[in-house]
Amino acid sequence: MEDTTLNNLLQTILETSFTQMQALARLRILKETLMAKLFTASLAPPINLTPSDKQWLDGLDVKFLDQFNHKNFSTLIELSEKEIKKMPTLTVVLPFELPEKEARETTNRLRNDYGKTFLIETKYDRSLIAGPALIWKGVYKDYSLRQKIEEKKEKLLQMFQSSKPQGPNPKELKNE
Amino acid sequence: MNNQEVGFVKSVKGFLIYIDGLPTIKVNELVENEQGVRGWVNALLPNQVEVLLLDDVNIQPGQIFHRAGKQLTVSVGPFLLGRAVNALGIPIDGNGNLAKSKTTEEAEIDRPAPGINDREFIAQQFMTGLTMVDSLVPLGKGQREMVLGDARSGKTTFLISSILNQKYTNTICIYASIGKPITDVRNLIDTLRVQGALPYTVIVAAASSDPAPLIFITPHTAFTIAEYFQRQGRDVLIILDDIGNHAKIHREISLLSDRSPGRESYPGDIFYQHAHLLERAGNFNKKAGGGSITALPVMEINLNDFTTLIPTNLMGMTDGHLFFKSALSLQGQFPSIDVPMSVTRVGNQTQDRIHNKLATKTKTILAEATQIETVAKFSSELPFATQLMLKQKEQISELLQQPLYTYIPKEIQIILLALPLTHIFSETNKAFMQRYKLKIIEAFIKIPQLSQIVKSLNNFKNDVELLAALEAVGPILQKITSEIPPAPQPTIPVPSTQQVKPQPEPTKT
Repeated sequence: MEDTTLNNLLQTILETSFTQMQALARLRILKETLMAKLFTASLAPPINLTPSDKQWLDGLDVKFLDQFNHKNFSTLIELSEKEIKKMPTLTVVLPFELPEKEARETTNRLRNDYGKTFLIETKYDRSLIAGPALIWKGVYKDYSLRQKIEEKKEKLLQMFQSSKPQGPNPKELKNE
Repeated sequence: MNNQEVGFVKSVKGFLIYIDGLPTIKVNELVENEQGVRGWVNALLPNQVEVLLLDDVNIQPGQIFHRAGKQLTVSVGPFLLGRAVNALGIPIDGNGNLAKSKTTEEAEIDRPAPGINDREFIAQQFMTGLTMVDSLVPLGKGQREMVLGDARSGKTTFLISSILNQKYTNTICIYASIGKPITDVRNLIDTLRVQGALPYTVIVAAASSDPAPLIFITPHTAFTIAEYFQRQGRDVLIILDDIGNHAKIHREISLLSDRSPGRESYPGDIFYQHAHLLERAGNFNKKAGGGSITALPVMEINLNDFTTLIPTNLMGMTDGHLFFKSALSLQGQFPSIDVPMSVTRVGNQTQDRIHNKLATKTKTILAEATQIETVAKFSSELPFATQLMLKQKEQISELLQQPLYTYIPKEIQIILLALPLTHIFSETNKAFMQRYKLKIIEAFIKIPQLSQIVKSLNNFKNDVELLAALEAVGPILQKITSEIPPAPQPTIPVPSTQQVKPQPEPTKT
């Protein structure tokens, strides 16, 4: 029963959280809300919520919140925190900062294609020029234009050296 | 960086960073970031990798470090002779880059010590050129002898003298300056240069202002360089000055990385850190390259207290110690070694037979005379034998001393030990020896009848024959020491007994 509740909890949090920091922040908000609900609500300090957090909280199913009681609340929160910290993170390194809408679409696409069992972090490195680099389980995979140029550096240099100059001869232009 | 293992910096504590990632990294491997900042993996924690930064740079959490794929190495070769480098092998003496080539060897700085199959019995004496050490506390090639003493007790002077005297023995010297002030390092380089010792010396220095990890790996680098020359079949002297600083830096690093402190707040592996370093010294067989590494770890103590953790640890992992006393140094004695408190566990087997016998007799006289000296002060008349013993002690004490940065060959040392045991100078005292010592040494080098004894020392069957030979040339020595006019006595001005006439009063106009 508790496993099912834990899975539900993780699913709910990871639905709209992509990075470890976001997931832990949502978990903290949920913890404070449940503490206020289950324990001395009148003495609990007011929870400061951003509009998106408030929207998320309001969107939670009542049946979901009813799964928590005095006995299982702290255990579930602790276990969820451990699970979130253990989850592998896919770091996507991009050469430019994506607008928020495109960033969310990209991460949703990744989640849909590969499941919700990993977190996603985004970093920026302009030297990539174009294309991403991915870091998964501690290994750096570079799919950027910079890497392609690096791999074909010798060939490109040969091409530049052997290519003949295009256009009119500068000496001819001067005589004219 | 493609297909390399990487990790992200999670937290920074000064020179210690914790990295998340690097799944198959090993301890002692190198990591680097894109700016070329290097780190040395110190420990593997359950979720993080603990890394010591080798470059003094500010690192921020979130930065990426990738695996360099190699251990920390240092370039070794003959081009190091005469140079001063830091713990990473980068020159710090302002004389340009090292003359490396494409085939220059890169040696790992933290190698395991050679096993017993690579070692040989220590049979050759290591000559420091100082009579007191070579005779009474002899060292062997491959021995580890701790140099122990208070501040300003003459340890560094002794070490520099030992280095300077290696120009007569074809020994390579490696001086590791661990956490000393930069001015001390500069003074040392200048002294060695002026005295002509740099061509066979390598200085590995980490100043007190350098990052702690750099200071920590300095003795490792020094031993790596020493092992290179040892594998070429050379005898090497390595001086670690001082190992107490190294222990303090290790303590600092361990406390910062939340290791549990043990006795005197040192970490539990402090013995291992020094033992696995000193094990790299020894005398090696031809299979391991031949050669030897003689180690002199230096330990500065407070108020002659050698019962603290680090000195006692070092006593357990070395083959003896030389105990320096600041009181003797202040009296002008050089070397300022307290011989009864010093120990050598290996050196005696390396001494020549006659040298050993004379040294034993000398130590006996010194010990017995010291015992009766105090009582003798209260006695009005002493027996002749006691008076002779006290005189011999005075002469021996004077003959064991020598000026700074001087070298006395082994043969002359044997002669100097033998002279007080003869009757030649039995009526003389310490002042006599002080005045004529150098003249006597010169005589044994220049005068044919005396130098003949020096050259034929190996032919004597025992010390008794040597003493008899010296007695036979006693008149020559007595004549030499009587030819020099006595030193002029300083005259003390005698106050005048004439009455002082009163000065006339100035006349008024």
